[in-house]
Amino acid sequence: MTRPAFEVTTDMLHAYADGQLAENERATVEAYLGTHADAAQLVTQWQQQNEALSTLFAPVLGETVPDRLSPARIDAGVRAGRGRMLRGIAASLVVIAAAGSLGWYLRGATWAEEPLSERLIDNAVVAHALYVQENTHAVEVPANSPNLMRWLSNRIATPIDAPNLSAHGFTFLGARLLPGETGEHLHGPAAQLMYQNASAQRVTLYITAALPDKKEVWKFESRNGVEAYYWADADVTCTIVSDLPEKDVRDLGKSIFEQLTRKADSSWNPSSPAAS
Amino acid sequence: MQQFLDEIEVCVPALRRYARALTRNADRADDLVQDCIERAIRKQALWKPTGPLKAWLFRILLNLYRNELRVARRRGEHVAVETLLVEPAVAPAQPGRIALAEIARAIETLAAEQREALLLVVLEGMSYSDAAGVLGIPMGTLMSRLGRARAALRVATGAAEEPRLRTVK
Repeated sequence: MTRPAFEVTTDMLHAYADGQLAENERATVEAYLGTHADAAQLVTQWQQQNEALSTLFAPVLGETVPDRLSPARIDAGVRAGRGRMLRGIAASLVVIAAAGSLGWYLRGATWAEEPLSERLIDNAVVAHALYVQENTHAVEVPANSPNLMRWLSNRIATPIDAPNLSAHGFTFLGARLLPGETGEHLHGPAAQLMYQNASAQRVTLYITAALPDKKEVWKFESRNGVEAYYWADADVTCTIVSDLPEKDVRDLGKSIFEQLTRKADSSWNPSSPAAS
Repeated sequence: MQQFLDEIEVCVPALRRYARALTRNADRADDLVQDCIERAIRKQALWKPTGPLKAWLFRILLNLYRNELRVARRRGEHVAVETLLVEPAVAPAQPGRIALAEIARAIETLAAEQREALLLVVLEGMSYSDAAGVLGIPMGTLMSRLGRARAALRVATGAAEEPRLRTVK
């Protein structure tokens, strides 16, 4: 399709002023403007408008972007807002940190009657809330680091492998080592493993060596918007924490249990009542 | 997720500039950008990486801005500036240039829909088809808004030979 060289529309004049014309069209318009002073003046004025507008607002690009516009920060806020519990936990963390030993004293006094498994679930939920909203530092050691699981196994003093949850759409992001219980409830450190799916939903596993009683225990608890699935056996305790629906967490739990304990399907007994 | 956040972060300065130019108020502009980022993060699952993220973000920002205008109009706040009278323009500070204060005042005279269109094209350098997509209007409508916006600016900056009554819509 050929176009007569003299056919220039208003739209083409705009496109010329905005630098949106292809090379050949630009030449056409330039030739036209050479012979049409009124159009040339109009285009020049438009270009002056463009220049003035660009200059007027250019300084905004050089400004330091306020912290509140950081996508990572907003994302953390969105996650925190999803479960109202997270704000409560953040607040309690602040209180504990501020009160120092008093905080720990109160914590011990309040929870002294609770079984150790409850303490582990609490720790797992708090650690989940704290780290799941991190983006750059969600994990201490990324999944692809050599000897990651050997290191964690040594530190928590029980051999573990990171369960493969790709069948559920979850990718292993990495892990971190967390302090264990202190004081009279002395218990070793814990490993937190974090997984994420394509929708950026996250699941954490809080794994420790077996408790002194080495009892087999199952618990499923909803705590302020997150699901915590805990079990213990003679080798290991694991608490799965996520804000996924209960059914999904139970499905994940089955897969994780089988891989962590390398036990046959028949040992899977999620419906057994909580015994602690 | 991290990559998604990083890609948003790259667009933040441009979003701020566009929001600032729309609202001419730094705080309101940043509020809009903040809401825009939050909405984008919440709706991430809805975003199919078929189109550029930047265009999607601008579309969200514009919808938020328009919602805000609607709410403010209902409340009777004075945000509609298209009714302002066009003042006789003073001569440009430098020959061949438009004084910045003058262009700042001139864009106040534009109808909101003209300002949205002109600023997308001029500030962001968006192609006409992208800008039409962001604004949710056909190309022909975009071009006529551009034309009317530029004609109005010429009047407001005294570039038009004889100031004439600007027609809106």
